[in-house]
Amino acid sequence: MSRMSQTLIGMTGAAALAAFSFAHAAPLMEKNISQEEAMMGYQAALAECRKTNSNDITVVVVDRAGQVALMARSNNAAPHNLDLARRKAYTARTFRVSSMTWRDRSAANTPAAGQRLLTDVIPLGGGFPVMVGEEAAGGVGVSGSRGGQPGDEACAKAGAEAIAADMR
Amino acid sequence: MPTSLKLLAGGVSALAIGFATIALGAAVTPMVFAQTLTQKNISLDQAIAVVQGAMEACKDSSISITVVDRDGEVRFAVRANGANPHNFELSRRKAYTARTFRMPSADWIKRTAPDQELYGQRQLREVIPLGGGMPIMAGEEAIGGVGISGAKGGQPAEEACSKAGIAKIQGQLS
Repeated sequence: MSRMSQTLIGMTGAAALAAFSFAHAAPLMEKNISQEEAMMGYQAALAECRKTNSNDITVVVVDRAGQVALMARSNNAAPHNLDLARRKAYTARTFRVSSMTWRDRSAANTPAAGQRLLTDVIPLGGGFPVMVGEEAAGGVGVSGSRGGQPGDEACAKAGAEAIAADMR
Repeated sequence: MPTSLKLLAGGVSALAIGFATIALGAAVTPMVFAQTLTQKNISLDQAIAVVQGAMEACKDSSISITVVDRDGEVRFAVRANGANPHNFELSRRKAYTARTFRMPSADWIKRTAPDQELYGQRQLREVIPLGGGMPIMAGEEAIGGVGISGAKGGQPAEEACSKAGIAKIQGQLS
């Protein structure tokens, strides 16, 4: 290949890149949960659970990336509670619905059943996404309330909504 | 006596000797007097008080902080605003190191320096030779640990803030 044709190909490439206007690319501006909001969410979940005398709950808040932002293990937690709370929060964040909704949606014999093979998800109620408009900015997971999965979910929802309200 | 009955009688006496031995053994070993362990451990409310105290002391920075309990398991942890991906892990490992060796993680660095006989301890999982972790002591007992990462003043500031956090609950530890 001649030097000239190589140059021509190079110029064509540059023109193609220019056509996609990468030159004007701006960074993503993603909303994420702050440390203060994570604490706020934890306190709101705790307050909701106390209404039903569930004073001993384990809570995890995950951020937009699904990473742990806060974890609080209760005094009488069973060894599995912390991991469950984290996985519920992660499940709610990544599927943008409550983990109870996803539990039902991914039941055996449904087309989505294969989703349960993912790492870190858990088909159990008690996780709630932090929704800011259409964006899932995080998740809250609760384990160990007296009310089982519906009880866990009510507390997680209170936590997630408190965070979302602050983010709007 | 028919052979079968003799065998049966022999079996029964052997059984009787067996039971007697077990009974005697149980009586002379002190297991009869065994008691359940009742161990002090850091509560969630205490852990949160430590975190709040440390945050006040380190308020010029957003810090990642972890409190582990007596078993070295996380009791409470919160990630800083704008934390680097490694910060949260570091805070946990500093807390764990301080708890398990019952000393500030900065002291453990010196004790396990490459020219020391204890250098090999650094090969343990989860430990980290970095300052910023402090044990939570109830008298001689280590009932938890706190670790900080991401303070502006580096390891000395992180250790100072860990200490300040523990000071908040010092009166409730004995």
